[in-house]
Amino acid sequence: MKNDTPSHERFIELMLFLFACVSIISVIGITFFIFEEGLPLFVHVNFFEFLLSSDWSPTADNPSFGILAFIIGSIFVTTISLIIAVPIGIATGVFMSEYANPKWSSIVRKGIELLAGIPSVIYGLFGFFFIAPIIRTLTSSDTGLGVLTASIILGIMVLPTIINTTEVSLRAVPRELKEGSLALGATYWQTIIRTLIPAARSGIIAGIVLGIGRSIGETMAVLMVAGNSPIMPKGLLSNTRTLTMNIVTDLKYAEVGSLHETSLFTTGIVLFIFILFINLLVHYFMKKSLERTQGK
Amino acid sequence: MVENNKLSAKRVDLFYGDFQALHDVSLNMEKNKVTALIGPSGCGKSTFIRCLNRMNDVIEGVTIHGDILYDGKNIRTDFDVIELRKQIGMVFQKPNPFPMTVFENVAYGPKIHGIKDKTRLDEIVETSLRDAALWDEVKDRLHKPALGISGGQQQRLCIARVLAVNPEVVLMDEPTSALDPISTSRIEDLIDVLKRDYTIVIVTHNMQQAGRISDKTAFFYQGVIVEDGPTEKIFFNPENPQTEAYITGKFG
Amino acid sequence: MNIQQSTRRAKREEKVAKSVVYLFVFLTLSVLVWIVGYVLFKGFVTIKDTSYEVTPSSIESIASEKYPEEPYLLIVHDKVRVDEILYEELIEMYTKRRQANWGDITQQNLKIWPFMYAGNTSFYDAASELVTSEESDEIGDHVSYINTPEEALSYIENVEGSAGLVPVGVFSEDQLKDVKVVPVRMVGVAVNDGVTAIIDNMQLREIRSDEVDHLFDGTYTNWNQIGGPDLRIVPIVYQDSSIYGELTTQLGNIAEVYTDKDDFISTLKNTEGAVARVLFKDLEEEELTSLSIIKHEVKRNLTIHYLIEEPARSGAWGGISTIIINTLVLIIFTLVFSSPIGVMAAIYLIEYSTENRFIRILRLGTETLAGIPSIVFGLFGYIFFVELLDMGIGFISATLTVTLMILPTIIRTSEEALKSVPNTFREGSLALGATKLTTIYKVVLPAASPGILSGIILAVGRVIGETAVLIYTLGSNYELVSSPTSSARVLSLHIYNLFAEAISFERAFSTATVLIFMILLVNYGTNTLIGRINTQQRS
Repeated sequence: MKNDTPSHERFIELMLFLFACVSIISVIGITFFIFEEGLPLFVHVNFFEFLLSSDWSPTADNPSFGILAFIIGSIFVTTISLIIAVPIGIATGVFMSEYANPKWSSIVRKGIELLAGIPSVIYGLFGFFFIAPIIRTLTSSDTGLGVLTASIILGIMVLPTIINTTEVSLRAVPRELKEGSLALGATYWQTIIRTLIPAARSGIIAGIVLGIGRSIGETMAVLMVAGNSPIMPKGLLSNTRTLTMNIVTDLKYAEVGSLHETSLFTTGIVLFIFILFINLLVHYFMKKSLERTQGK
Repeated sequence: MVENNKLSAKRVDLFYGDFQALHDVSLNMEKNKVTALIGPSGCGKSTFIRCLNRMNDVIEGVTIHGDILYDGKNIRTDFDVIELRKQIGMVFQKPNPFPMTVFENVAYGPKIHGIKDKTRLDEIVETSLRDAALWDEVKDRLHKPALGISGGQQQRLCIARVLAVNPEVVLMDEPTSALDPISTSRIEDLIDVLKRDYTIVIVTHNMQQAGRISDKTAFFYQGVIVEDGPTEKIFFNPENPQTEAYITGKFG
Repeated sequence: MNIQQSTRRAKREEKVAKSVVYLFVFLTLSVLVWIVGYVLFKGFVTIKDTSYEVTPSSIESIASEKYPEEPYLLIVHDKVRVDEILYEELIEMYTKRRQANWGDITQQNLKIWPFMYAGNTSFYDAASELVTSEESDEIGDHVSYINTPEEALSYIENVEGSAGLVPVGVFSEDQLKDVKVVPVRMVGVAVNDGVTAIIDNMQLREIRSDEVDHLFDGTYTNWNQIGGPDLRIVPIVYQDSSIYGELTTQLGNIAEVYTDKDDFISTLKNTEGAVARVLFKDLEEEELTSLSIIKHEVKRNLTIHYLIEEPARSGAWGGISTIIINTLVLIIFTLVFSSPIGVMAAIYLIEYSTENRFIRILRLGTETLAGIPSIVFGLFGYIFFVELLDMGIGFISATLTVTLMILPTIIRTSEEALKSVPNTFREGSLALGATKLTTIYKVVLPAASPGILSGIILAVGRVIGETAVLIYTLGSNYELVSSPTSSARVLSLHIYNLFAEAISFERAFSTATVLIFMILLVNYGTNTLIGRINTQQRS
């Protein structure tokens, strides 16, 4: 800054700077309070028992706090949802950037925006009243609720993320690469699958990881369709409870200030660490994708 | 001599939507010769060369009238576009190696055309790189990313990539415009060698380059071939005053 | 044309791959259409099978057996949205110890104010015989007694939620013309015990409403045709001068007619496979075995009343007016906090900062904030705003938490909008001697405003849909939010509560429909704005 800037302008600049710091301060604040509330659990409960036991009976006379079942539940549901969403998402992204004419691409884009805007409780309703009965009819499941239904709903919910990032990364691939491949006598599909997608790889992976983050952090929709039993999921049709579900379910009846309440914040820490790790991955891949498209 | 035409364009008109980019272009390109297309920016020479292996098919809104014959057969009606491009390769203005290793870049074409045998691929890659005069420089880094080699090497890699498909014609769209003088001269040397086995059509805005490497030259101006003929004639004894003006650097 | 085999294979592969891609796109779009279509459909229409003790046919003028020549009408207040009433509901209305509410019948939160016409003792006796049963034989204290037709008419006109049985005879024809008369469903289907016997773990308990007539017109001749035992169907009919008389008009001609009631009842009890229509009251008094009647009902779900009435009974009655307002208030206050912070942060990041390590950390902060799941925000809001700052579960805690949550959306879109303002704008203004601040305020911000606005609308979309963060910061009080610390309920939370507490799934869907329309509005808004930005940039 030059010295002749009027003092009130410098004051306003300072204000703007402070506002710019709100996000990072919030992140630090959230991290601090979640850890501050959750870490004291380990005074009473063994760290490894917390992570590696699947016995969750926080209100028993001899309470036990093991969240392994929920960690597995979260990972299980997220994995299946990605297995569903990734092929469909990438294919739709390919369609939008490579095959669709502007009219269709705009129609699909509006559709994707709507899909992204639908609140998670509505996905939950849809899952419970539409998907679950189908699962119930097609399989041996009694309720139709559980890992599979939750995964289908989550798969639909993360589709927009994957589609958007795929489309954006494919569009960022230089035209020269496409022409280079076509000029060698490759079909359009060979060009897409062997040149464009590998070139857009980092961006697409970043989108998938972003999808993982959304999937693992989603609460309401899974809460309504996953069955919510605090047990180790045994298969696709098994009821399950994820980390997020554990927090939202138990906070309702945990006594304020009890070890039970603390354990829910500790569950939050585990979820938070998952998310931070995922964020770092996204950041890494985004950076890599940026480097790629901007050459070297 | 007529039978010796590898490629010939007959009265080609090309439109981008409503805009006509090529007017009534006719040109013969002889076998195992280098044909240079010269002219100021936007004169249609790149558009024309892209017609020869139907690269304009990719662009929306392009309509083409007139015929282009390859070995006497119409490239539009007598060829499948994939087959055509296998036989008529193309090197672009900016080196565009794929974001994969040197080896994979060269093996890309043979692989998509169904060659799976590993030793056969190794063989093709080595021959192509040797033909492109790049083997000695990259033989130790075949499995390193292609984006890591220099711009001139990248362009020769792109040439090797085209040769690996075993084409008969190589189209080059200003292949040296993005390169330094040393790399440029190496590519020019390469073109001189390649014309023994291939028919070459090259777009260049570099007069001297056209003069040095080509056997025939066509001068494009505003979508029309103003004059074409043996390079010496175009350069030293042009019939058209516009050609002369361009050659001598009065415009362009 | 000579095509090599490898080319042919590649083309075949392309064809297959392309169809798969198109299939997946189709799948994506159809999933969208399914979800939106399904929710809207369920939101507007309810289709379900309901089990009743009585048949769908209803009668306007009813009379007791003791006073068959004195027909009564049930008249109700105009505002009550009822088009028919079950006989048991009529009895409850008069005899329930706690005053009944129309909510149980019409979902409108309105107390029922019943009255009885007691012009003389016989009127009173006749009416009380109609509205009591053996089990509920005491008329409640909340029932008013009325002695003249005029009094009855003014009561029904002036007391909201009023309803009363009045003898037709005492009114002149014109008097009842403008009064809402509600027919009563009072006919049940009684069968001989043997029909409902358990055979091979199967028992006939219910019958579809459209099958009832077929029992009497000879279409069905054996109970096993509708899932019962192997018994012949023996339809019988009781006929006298009162209501039972009316029933016979609906019959086919194969039924045996009885004119003596005791005879009729004993035949019904003693003849294997016998079936008859009887008054609901007789089912109870004569201890008859009856079949439930399944009625396939198609009803409108989301109505204008649902939008404008206040919720009651956890949302089971009334509408969602206060919840809609709460949602809007939450949106407005969240924006009041988040948009200035977000936009100013973006201004700093784009206009003032130079790219350095610290700024990269600020950006990483925004990115990280965007990735934090809403339940973690909920936990933070709960521990920080609710408990530590002691703001309690309520409006202010929720607003502040949601503000943090949507901040990244606003910062990012504002950054993009500011970035897209050409530098020539800034240089032009600076060259005229304007200060940097004036330039930003007068030139850059106006140029970037459509983009910033579209980001804010995008944020609105997020607020509308959020649930998990609000459960432990906003609570679930569905009354109108009255103070910063009062607990409140928004649409998405309402949907969840209606669902989770199994209050009403139909209402969950009609609320979801309202929510979807809000989202459509938001999407339309952003699209319009983005369209405007595009045309602006082109010109």
